[in-house]
Amino acid sequence: MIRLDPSLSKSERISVIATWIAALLVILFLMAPIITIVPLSFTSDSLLSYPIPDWSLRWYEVLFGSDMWMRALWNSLYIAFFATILAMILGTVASVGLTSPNFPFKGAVMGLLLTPMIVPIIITAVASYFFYAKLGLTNSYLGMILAHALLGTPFVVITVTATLLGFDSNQVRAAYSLGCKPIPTFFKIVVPQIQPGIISGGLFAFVTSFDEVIVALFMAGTEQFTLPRQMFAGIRENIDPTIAAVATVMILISLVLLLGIQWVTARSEKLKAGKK
Amino acid sequence: MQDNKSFVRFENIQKTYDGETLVIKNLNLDIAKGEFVTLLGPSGSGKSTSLMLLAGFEQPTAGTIYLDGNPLNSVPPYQRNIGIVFQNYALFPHMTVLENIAFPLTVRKVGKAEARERAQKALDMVRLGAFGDRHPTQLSGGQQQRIAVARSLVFDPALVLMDEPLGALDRKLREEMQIEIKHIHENLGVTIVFVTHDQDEALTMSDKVAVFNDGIIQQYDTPAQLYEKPSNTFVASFLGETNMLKGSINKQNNGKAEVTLACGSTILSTAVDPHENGDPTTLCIRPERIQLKDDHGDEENGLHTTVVETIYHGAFAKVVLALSSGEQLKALVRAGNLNADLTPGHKILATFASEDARALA
Repeated sequence: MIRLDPSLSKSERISVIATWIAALLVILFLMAPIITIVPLSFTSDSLLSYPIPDWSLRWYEVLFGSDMWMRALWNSLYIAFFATILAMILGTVASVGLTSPNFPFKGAVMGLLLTPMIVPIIITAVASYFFYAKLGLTNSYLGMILAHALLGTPFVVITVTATLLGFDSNQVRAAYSLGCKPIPTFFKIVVPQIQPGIISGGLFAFVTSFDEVIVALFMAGTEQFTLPRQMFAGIRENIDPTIAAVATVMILISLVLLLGIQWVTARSEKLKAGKK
Repeated sequence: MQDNKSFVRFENIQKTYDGETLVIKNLNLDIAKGEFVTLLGPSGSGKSTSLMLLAGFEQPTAGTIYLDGNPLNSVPPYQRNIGIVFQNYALFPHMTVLENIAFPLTVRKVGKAEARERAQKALDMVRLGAFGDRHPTQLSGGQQQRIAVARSLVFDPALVLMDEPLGALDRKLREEMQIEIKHIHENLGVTIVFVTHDQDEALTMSDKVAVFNDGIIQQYDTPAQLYEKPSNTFVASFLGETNMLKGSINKQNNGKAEVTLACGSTILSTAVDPHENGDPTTLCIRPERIQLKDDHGDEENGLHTTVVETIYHGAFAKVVLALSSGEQLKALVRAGNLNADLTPGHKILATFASEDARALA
């Protein structure tokens, strides 16, 4: 139980309690879908509905025993992994260019790079579909990876640009004067210091790809079905609690990644604070 | 390498960033091997730009820079073999102190053991031998700057550039570091080009000082020559305090010029710039070159003045005097030399030797 500071007046107590209640309601609202779906994955019943007659892990057995679901999980991880790598490279290179003092039309280019975040995903998906169809990249892993990298790159651009703002460009000049060429300087001096930005941007990009269904609807052939795409297919055909089990697994993976982002940011803030 | 040959040469250098205004108008500068040369000037005078051109971070719009007889224009900064110390230290925060200093050696593929040994030696030189395993962020500003100095010297560069390296330090530390850098220069015999806007720093540290203003070198000389024999009013006023009195030339003879001042007195002075008789001139006299005595009538090179105020500084007193023209004259009087009555309103005769009054354009 939360203990209230005894020195508070009555009206102050009321306002503290009211704040707590409001906060709890907001959290409840945000968590409701998760709270509903997770228990359903542990039902013994074959219906995706409450009340739950008995607890069981049978749907997890179905999930991990199913080639279809395992392939979807593998596809999701595979596509998200390579899309993330690509987004990290593109986003970092773009940020380095954008923060150099003599880059022309900085604002416009930055805006352009961030459009995948702003434009409704359905638009990106349709556009990608028509464009990639011409190149023969629909129904292919490469197509999915490229399309997801496109969605993830803006996150890397944002986080890396933020870390680069605190980076002292005289360090680059110092490295040159000490005999280090531009490319080794980038890897030995710049990258180690903007690493937190690259990693947290990469984690965002990974989560984006991992959760993504709309682009997958357009671009993925049955071979490339990711977890969300497979769930989408499954919901229309047969609704059983395996979906809930899949959702729980996805929530878990996303949670781990988000905690990872938190950890990386907390660590880099600590390093920054240590500097002063 | 002969002593009379220049080691660093700026030849007809011009620099513009926007294609219109020249930040550096026409720079010609020769620096001999082993010299400690300071580029001194107010901000925006072109001194830092000159240093960046020499470092290779900027390209001259026109002209050529030579190092040891070789043109540098097409040599990228990482091949110039020039050490640089920045005002904000620019140490690598993700490396230890020793790794920072060893960096130029590892880049040059020096063996690990040798690199370590040489880095440790450089660290000892700046009296931070025990700090090798720390990270730069754990050290004070002065310590960080010493590490930056060690890093700029460890690879035996031909030339070391220092861009206002002491600007971020407090006064006491700055004075310590001035002496330390001076000693390093004397011990290693390395050529140093130092940029500062602090005239005291320039005078105490340098073999030679180039005074910059408005993209032009106003005077390039030894500190003593600059201070005692400034060649124009900018140099005279930028270095130390000086009195400037307006007047016009009466006649000239043997390097001496007779000048009639606005207050009516006629003064014999040293002619610096070529003048025609009747030309306007500015007479520059250092406050410490002025003697004060009670006014008992005219004397050669004596100005009739009235004491406005006396500011006591301990070792000396600064006396502000008014001339009949309304101009003010400042004089420095050593503590033991206060012979005259310096209460405000008192009449005082201010005298000086003709060598100490310089008639500038």
